[in-house]
Amino acid sequence: MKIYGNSVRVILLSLLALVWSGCSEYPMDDDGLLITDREECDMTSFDLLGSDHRTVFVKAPVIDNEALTVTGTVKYGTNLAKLKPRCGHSIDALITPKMGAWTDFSNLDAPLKYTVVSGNRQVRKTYSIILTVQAKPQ
Amino acid sequence: MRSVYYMSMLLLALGAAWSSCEKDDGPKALRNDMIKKTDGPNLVGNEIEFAYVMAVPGSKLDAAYAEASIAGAAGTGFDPNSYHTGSTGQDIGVPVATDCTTEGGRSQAVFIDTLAATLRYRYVVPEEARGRSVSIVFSCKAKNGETVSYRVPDQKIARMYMRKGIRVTSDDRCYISIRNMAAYTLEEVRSQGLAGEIDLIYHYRKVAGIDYGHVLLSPGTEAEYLEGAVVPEGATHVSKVEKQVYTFDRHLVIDAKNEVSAGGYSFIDDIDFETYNPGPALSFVLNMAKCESVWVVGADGKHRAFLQVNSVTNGGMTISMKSYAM
Repeated sequence: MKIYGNSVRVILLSLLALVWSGCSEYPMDDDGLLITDREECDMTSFDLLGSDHRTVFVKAPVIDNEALTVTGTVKYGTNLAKLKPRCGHSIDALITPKMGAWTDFSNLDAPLKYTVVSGNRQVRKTYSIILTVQAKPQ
Repeated sequence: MRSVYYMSMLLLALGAAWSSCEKDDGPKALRNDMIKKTDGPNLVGNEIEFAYVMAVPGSKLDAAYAEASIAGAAGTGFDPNSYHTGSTGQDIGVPVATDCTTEGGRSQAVFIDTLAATLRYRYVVPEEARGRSVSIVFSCKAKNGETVSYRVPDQKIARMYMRKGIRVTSDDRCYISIRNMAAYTLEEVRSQGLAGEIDLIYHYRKVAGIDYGHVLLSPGTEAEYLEGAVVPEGATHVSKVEKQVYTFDRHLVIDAKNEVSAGGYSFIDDIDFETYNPGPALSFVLNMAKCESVWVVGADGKHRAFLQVNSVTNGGMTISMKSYAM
């Protein structure tokens, strides 16, 4: 009987532990992402993919977290009107507008902007994507 | 009280064990089943292979039949062998049938001496089946007079065309028509009046510091990209061209050992042509390489093609393509 009582206690405690661990202290946003207390919101990497899902950059673009710019040269012959952006960023941050969709970057005089929003959703950094096209062959 | 309970449980267990050990004599009648071995869309000129299995206890198999609603092309019929797998995975055939014949849509195989066999049946898709559905009914007769049949789900035959191993060479046989699925020389384009049917020009050029190499250019694309290529008089089409790397068509492979996909194998089917939206595609692609491919939408928007590069050499490529008229 004592063994039976102990087993019930163990099961109840396990259930309580499970319920407790399932309850996070952080709320979620509309996309199901946790709103945490992190304030960092840097862009750590950036890439543009062509229709073949390969990078179109001649070399990795330069990210300036002070000037909030991403500067890169895309290959000669790149279809600027159909590129898929993707990036890395600080933990818990998010990007707006969302990346991962075919996007028109063809207006080089009006660089597209992407905003990194911190985990606590209080700090925002807006980066301009400044592209140049590799010079045509001579 | 407890011993009564245990005895009851023991008797129940014995009863269950006894009932599960009842002798099962297995099937007593002629039976059959089928699997389709070929995967991917059914193309005119290609084989669709089936494995038809039959067994009859207490008698022998007499003959197997296949009835196709549209007569297959030459090569259609039963394989007289039944196969098993060898130690290294290869098929080892054992002759089990003779008199494998095909007349019109009906094929037959007469068994030598067996009560169970799996026969392979190959249906070579004829031109008249393009865009239609073909039904195939397998049947089997045993020597004791029993018969059985199996109706294969209708096989939709694709509308698209395919041509493999088209050799293109820079500044020579470099004028490609997706409608004709062929490459021409400048002389042929001029003499046969094909300028209006040229969708792409293949060109090869090494340019320092630029990924140029093997390029496919629309005759009507911007002049800077056409530098070094000769555009036939009257060839002005501006096709939409889009490079693909991870879309790799298995039908278009020529040398399976040397053509390895970066992203797995797939098949381009009619529906892919129908739903493909090129969006703001360019009219050229640069730096093509082996195992890469391109979608092409002709200037009329009606003719579409999927080209895959089988191999490249300096100044030449071997390509294969599927084409489709919307």
